[in-house]
Amino acid sequence: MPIKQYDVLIVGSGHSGGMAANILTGHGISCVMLNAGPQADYEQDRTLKAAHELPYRGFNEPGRLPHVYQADEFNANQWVDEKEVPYTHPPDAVYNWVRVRLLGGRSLFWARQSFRLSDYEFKAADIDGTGENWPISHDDVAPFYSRVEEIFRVTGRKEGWPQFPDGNFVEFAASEDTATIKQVTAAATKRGIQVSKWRTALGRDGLASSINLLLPDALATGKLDIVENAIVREVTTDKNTGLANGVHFVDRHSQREMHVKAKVVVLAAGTLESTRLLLNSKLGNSSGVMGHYLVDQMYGVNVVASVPEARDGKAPSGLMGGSAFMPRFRNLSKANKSNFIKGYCLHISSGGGASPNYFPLYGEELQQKLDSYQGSCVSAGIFGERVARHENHVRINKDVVDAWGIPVLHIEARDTENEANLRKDAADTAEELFHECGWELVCKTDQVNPPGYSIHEVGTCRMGDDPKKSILNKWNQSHDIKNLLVVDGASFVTAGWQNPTMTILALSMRASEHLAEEMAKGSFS
Amino acid sequence: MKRRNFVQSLLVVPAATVAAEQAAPPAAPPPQTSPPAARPPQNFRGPQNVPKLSLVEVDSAAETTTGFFTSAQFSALNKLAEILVPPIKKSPGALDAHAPEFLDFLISRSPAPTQTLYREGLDGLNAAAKKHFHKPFAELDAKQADGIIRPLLVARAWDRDEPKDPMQHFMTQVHDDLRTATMNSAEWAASGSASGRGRFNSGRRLYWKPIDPIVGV
Repeated sequence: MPIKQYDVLIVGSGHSGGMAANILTGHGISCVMLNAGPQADYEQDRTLKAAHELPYRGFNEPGRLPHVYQADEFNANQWVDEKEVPYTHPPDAVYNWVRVRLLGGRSLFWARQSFRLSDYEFKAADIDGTGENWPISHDDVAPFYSRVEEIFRVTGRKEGWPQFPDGNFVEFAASEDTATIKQVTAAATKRGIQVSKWRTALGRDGLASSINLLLPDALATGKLDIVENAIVREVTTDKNTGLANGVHFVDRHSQREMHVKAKVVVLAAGTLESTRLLLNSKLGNSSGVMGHYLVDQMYGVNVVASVPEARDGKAPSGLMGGSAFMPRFRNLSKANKSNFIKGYCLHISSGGGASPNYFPLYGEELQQKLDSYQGSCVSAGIFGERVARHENHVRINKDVVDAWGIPVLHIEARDTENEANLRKDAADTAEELFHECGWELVCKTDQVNPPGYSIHEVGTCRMGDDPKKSILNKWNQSHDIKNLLVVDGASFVTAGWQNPTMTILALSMRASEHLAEEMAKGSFS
Repeated sequence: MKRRNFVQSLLVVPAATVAAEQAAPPAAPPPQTSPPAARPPQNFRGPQNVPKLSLVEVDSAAETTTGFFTSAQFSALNKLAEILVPPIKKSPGALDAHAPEFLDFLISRSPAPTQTLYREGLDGLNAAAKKHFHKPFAELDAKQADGIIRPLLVARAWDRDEPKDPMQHFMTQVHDDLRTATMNSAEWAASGSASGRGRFNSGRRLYWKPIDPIVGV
């Protein structure tokens, strides 16, 4: 069988890799995509089971996936096995690296919250007085956001607020808020907090993944080959030109070592896997900042109140249920200064029950309490922005290798006083809102999950105009190697409080179109 | 025997009911580019029409052999199960669900810190019972046991909060585990909505099988 010649090699098949393949093949560019894991068969690989039919009665297998708090015995097989592909972190700095290597990656399982970054994030240094701005603004990305929103069928309510840019939404199905949502909205509005609704990707047929929205069209061009179970260990370069010319990979099952050539290499393996690959390849790091400025979002804070008139199943129709979404409202102007920089969104949900953990009770007494509170609770949580810091970083740990002998990542990320002050402000604000509504506070904590938990890790190959301070240019190209791109979340300069998926997709689309234009002019031929 | 008959009764649910449950959440259709499912070629000479035989769940035919905890520890765990998660209305309690036997298995497979937490926690309950009432925890009446348990209960707004006091930590852990082991049991599933506590969803959920697992790595 003759070996094909490819124009572009794409590592990874999630949202960013899928978008790159979609755009590039649409321009007639031949691509090969390598994915580290297999393709899941949605008919064969899933079944319905009761917890008691599983080996551990629904508890996960002890010791399996200790860093994946989202894992349970039902979904354990969808995540990357930490024993196959381990990583290390300091004992006092737990990091949750949550990975999927199935074809489509994490795009198979994301929560579909679909927000744009605003210039409060793209130009964060101007607002915060510290850090770096992105080399691009919302206006640069807006046309691409619009196209992504159309493909992913994002629904949302337009507001016209600069910190919460509107999108190209499909029709928003408005329903009347319940009385509790109206109450909390009024309490927030009184404090100058703007209240909106979730923005969500509807996708198609219950899925908003690269495997159903991006890759089928790419395959239909006849210009894309996808190889599964290809674990890339190194990007290779031409000795004469220094340009990338392919990758070495190992077959996941046989451990056979392979090499594939291409004129351009596009990394889309997921933020930390792309960075790990570059660090192991010893490429693209003339600035020395590769691996640094790792950042994600704080998920947590839990404030719960109970609505007295809704207890004991007596809630009248229209009182409970629904949600409210309060996009960032802190530090939007110089007059509005807190004891922290950046901000968070507050999300409110009405109509749930109480956790047994909220009460120091047991037996029948506990059950009576739970029964009484069922359906009467309103809860608040946050997505909060962490600060991108040089000291929060990843590096290669040469002492530990994965199942294919590839050195693993060591991840160090810690929160500081800024994060502590932000989450305390969030918990206090939620309590104030509930208090004003006249509800009984059931519990309150400003705790958040460890870094990484949000599955929104970004940074480590940040973009910038200055090659001494960044890894990529504003087109996601390596400053050092122009035919090497990183189109996943690694390019982020700041994380924002927003789910990064829309931005990752828009940037991958933007970078891929720029690459296609350059290739059409004869670059990298 | 009673439990075995009970669990076996689960296995005679009408086939139509099972089929309806399995059809409940619509699976996402495969990408348009998926090839049709592979079929054996017509000249395939392997076995044909192989029957799929009817099986029973292991718990309907056998009991768990316990042995991780000492006799004294296991007795204390049984007492905790009886008190913390009793049968309420038509819902089974932790003892009905054989939660202590399951936890003996689960903790035997758990990391060392969890094993230590359990062993020292159960020993601590026995030590407190002997100190205050001169008998093991398992022999306390409800009021005496309450006197030991209640100070160890802590309200937690965050599920992953681990109380710093080891005995309080143990109590939060064993309480969580006993509740989960009970509500995830076959007995609980069989009690179903008739219990009036249907919000603890012990029904069927989507389970991902191992997907193309690697061998020998």
